[in-house]
This record gives sequence, C-alpha cells and structure tokens, in this order.
Amino acid sequence: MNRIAESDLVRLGFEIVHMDDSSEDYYYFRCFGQPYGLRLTSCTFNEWQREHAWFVEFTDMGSMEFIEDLELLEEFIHIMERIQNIDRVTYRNRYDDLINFEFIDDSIIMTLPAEATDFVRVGYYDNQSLQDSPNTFSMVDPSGGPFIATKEFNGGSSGTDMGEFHKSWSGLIVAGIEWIGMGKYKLIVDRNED
Amino acid sequence: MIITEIDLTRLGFECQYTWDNFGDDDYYFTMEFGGINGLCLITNCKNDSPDATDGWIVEFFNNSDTKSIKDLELLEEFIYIMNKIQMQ
Repeated sequence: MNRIAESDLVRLGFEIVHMDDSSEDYYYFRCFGQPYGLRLTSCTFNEWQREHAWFVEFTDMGSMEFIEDLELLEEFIHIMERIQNIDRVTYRNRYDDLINFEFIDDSIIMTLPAEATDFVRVGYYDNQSLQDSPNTFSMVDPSGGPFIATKEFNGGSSGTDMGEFHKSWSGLIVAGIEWIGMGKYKLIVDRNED
Repeated sequence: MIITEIDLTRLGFECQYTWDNFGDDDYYFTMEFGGINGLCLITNCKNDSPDATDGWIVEFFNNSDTKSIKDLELLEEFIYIMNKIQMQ
C-alpha cells in the first residue's frame, strides 16, 4: 500500500485547516463543488503520526468511509471530479427549496419544486412587455436566489454567467429566460467569446 | 451511454417497489455498499414506466446534496472504486 503523506495531500489540492482542539489534532479539508459537494477530511490522531501516514475519510448521511492508500485516493478524487462535471446541479433558496439546473439541448432548464413557485420574482427590462410576451422574462429569482438575469436587465453589463453555478458552464451567459410550464424556466445561453 | 434497467440488474442493484407522496407508481432500485455502514445509491426514473427509454439516474447522498450519475461507464467506474474502498 502506498501510504498518504502530507505532501501528497497538498499536491492533490487539500487545504489545511488547523483545528485547535484539546489533543492538537490536524485536519485537512477538500470540498468538491463547495458548498454543495462531497467533503473529504484527512486527519491524523496526533502530531507524530503525520510523519508516517494520513488517512482520508468522507462522510455521507449515515457513515464514514476511509481511504488509506494514495493511489486509491487519487482514483477516488478523479471519479468525483468527473461526477461533479455532469451537466446538472442543485441549489437551495432561502426557504430551503431545492432548485435544479440541468443542461439540455443547448439550454439550461431551471426547475422549481411546487412549493417554491408561489414566491418566484420575475422581471422585465424597459422595452419588454408582459402583454407582448407573457412567458418571456429578463430576470428570475426563486425566493432568495439563485438570481438569474439577462444583459438587458443588468443595464447593459453582462448577463448571469452560469459558471457561477456549475464549473463546466463557465462562459455561458444568460441571454433570455422563458417560462415553459410546470415550474420550469428555460435559460437561453450564449457562449461568451471574451 | 444511458443506464438501462438491465445494466442496473447486472451491476447488482436490487429492485424495490415503492409509493411516493403523489401516489404515482415510481420504481426505485437501491444498492448499498458494505451494508448499513456503506454508501447508499438510489436509482429512479422520472416517469411511471420501468422501461424508461431516456435512461435511469443514479443518485447518492451526502450531508448537503445529491449527486447524480446518468452515464453507464461513469456509474461502473464509481461502483468499482467504491468496492475497492470497501475492501481496503
């Protein structure tokens, strides 16, 4: 087994956090897709032990798993990064409703649960008319975020860059918003060539 | 490559038939790695048919979020690495 050293953890992108607890343990954290990702924690139980090896634990709702082998840790991080790059992500608004975003057919579909649809704010820009296009908006805000707006709504500056929500969507700028029914909004995106 | 019901069976998922809050006949498959102390994967299709042609989604949970896998090769790799972690 190829044991995990402190230098390996730094190379793999773990950020050190020194927990000043009673036993002077050291902890490292690395978050995937923070704050909505899976948390890996590495630690030793005392200072002398870190000269020998570390282990990495990750948690789900009911358990902890441990990785003590460096190659296995590298494999695990690689697959988690690939899963992280799927074209779907979930956020919460201030009422703890889950707001889903999914990339489908060159657009991003934002889906709200039924309990969240009563509190959605939508907006228009000056030349846009509710009468002319009742299902077309320039801003949508599902109760305390995530806030989405077009360039026009933002007064000429850029529309929302969807990379704020999903790493692989970086540079996809919101150019239009359409309500397509059943709590779904279609975010029409353009590739920012800058 | 989408995930089909045949793939899930081959990979060891066990079928459980459940009712959700809306009374629809949703199908769920569950697979646990390492029994009660393991990571739980849940697959579901978004309509009533277990023969969903648009594939199945595998979800797993941690403290704050759900992660989803829709690609068969990625699912197989994930199961492989989870099995290796369990067998350390």
